[in-house]
Amino acid sequence: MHVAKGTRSAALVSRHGPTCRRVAQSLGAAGVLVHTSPFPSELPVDELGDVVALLVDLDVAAGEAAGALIAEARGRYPDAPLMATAGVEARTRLLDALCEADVNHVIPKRGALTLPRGGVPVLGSLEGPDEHDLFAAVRRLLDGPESPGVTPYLLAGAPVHEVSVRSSQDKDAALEKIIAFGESMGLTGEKLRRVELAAEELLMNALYDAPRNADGRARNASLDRREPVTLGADETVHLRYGCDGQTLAVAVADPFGSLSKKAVTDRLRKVRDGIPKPNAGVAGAGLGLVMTYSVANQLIFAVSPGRLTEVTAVLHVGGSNRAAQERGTAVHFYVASSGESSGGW
Amino acid sequence: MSRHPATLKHVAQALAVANLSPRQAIGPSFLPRSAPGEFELVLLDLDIDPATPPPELCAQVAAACKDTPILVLAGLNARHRLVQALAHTSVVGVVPKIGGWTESVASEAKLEGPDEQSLGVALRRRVERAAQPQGPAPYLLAGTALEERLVGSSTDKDDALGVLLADAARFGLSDEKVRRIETAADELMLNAVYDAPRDERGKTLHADIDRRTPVVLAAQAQVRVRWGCDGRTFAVSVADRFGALERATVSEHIQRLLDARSPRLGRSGAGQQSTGGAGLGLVLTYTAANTLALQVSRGRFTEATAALHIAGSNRAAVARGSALHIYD
Repeated sequence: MHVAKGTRSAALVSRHGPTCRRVAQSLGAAGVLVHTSPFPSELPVDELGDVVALLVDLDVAAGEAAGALIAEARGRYPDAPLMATAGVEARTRLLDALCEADVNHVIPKRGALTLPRGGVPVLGSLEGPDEHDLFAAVRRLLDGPESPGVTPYLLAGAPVHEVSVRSSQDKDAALEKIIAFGESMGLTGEKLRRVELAAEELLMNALYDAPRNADGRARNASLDRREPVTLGADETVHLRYGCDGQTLAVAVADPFGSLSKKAVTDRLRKVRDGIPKPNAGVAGAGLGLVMTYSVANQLIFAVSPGRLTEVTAVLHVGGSNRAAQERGTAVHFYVASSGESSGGW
Repeated sequence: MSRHPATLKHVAQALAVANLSPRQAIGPSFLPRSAPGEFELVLLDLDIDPATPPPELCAQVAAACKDTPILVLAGLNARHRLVQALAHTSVVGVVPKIGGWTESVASEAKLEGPDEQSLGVALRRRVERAAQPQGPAPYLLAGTALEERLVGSSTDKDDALGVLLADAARFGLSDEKVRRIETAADELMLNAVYDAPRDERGKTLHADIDRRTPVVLAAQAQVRVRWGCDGRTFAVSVADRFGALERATVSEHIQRLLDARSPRLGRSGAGQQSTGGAGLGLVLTYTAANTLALQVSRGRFTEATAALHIAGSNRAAVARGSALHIYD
């Protein structure tokens, strides 16, 4: 396959039929042509035109370290954004890819966390990655990492609510609103708790971890989370949330842009290596992110260093809570330009 | 009106999308007597009484809630009973529960509720009462790119269909899925080009012409075709500028599905008066689509939108069933 110059294309490494189909559908819908190879070594190098993404299905070599597989694929396309998907040992291998390699997007396959009795999933029982996750992720790659809030994750026209937060008191009021919203949808028990937890942790991060002094140092990170804080007039945090009946999304944007991928992966390693016990009141423990990861179906970080951090949690609220949790968690990281800082979470 | 826990949950989530609050009743006799307009609509779960003919249940609801639109849900013998319900004039939509379309389900316990997302869109559209054609956007993720073509003749129609199918081919869809998309898009465009156009007295212009005979539409009668895909749903909308489609026509044609013979045998034959742009095509589109939405602004436009689920297997997509909504 030789693709005309200017055509947007993506390279996929996979042998898993449902994955190949879903990737072709989702990326095709985003206007991206997909070229599939069964191994990284068979990816064409100069024939794909404008390569907007490189997707690696870690199941092509389930016994191989995720990093090695990614590195081999990366060698073919040094500049393309990397995405990884997996079904076998998905959570661990995807976190490996995110934390130890230069992968900014990880998406579990559907069925990866639905364990057959006494065993691990086998490829035959797995579906591909969620089409909407993939579609929205590629659209944001193409559109850039600005602050679109929750709309890319909901059906068009779904009502979106916005609340401005400048203090811990505002945060509590905002949380009450989002809980009332969840209750108005008939959400109860675990589903409602997931929504509340995601919203609260995102807001806590924006109020306590994100704020910076003029010299770039964390301002509130060492404070006890029970201690009230108030942000400046030009430091307002925006909470946006909405639901289209099946997907509920919560986004919190702060004007500091202090979150780095390293700060995120440092925390997510805790998930991979076993979640530590919460140490109540200890600032910067990073448990907020770990907890948000555990309740969300997608966790999206968009950072313009020094300007904006937006973290979006997408929760599937259709069907049973168990089914929603078994969908696993995709993580996406969009950075406007290079720049690492240690702030946030 | 439902006693099915899964349905109640799914409906509550969908109602919130349209900013509506529910009042639940477990049977028609438990419905509060209401003045017209007091309720935005009644959602009637036909499974509350599987033995009673759907039009009769609808009549009981209509007696309690006068002049209130009824949206019907069903899981038990869903295909048959939903289509039967359309015979009642207050019914503006039919929605299958997930799990009840292709399998004969004997108990509500094995059924899920209706698709929350799809029902949420339907309720939102009903509450918003848009004055303009909405296109396929409400059925797709926000920001999904849409393609658009203006169709001024039967040749343009073929060209537009070709472009649409080439678009669908890019997604690597299976033949069966492409065929469903083709059926829906072709029939909607045929209807708009042949059945919908009227002269100034309201008489059909091309309805009696063989569909293989080329026609050219006047500039002000051009048809607008829009489509898009978000990886999970492919949606196509076709809008004509006549707004002639009647609810009764839709009901009459969809009910041909109840005929044991195929819908083709029930088609209006030569000499029968055309019924305003919805014949066999409507039946075929309804069965191919997972949602068929008909928005009519009398004398201004009719827009038909078919949304097709393309995720997973085609069999699973077809098993989700077909919802129908009429906004007029």
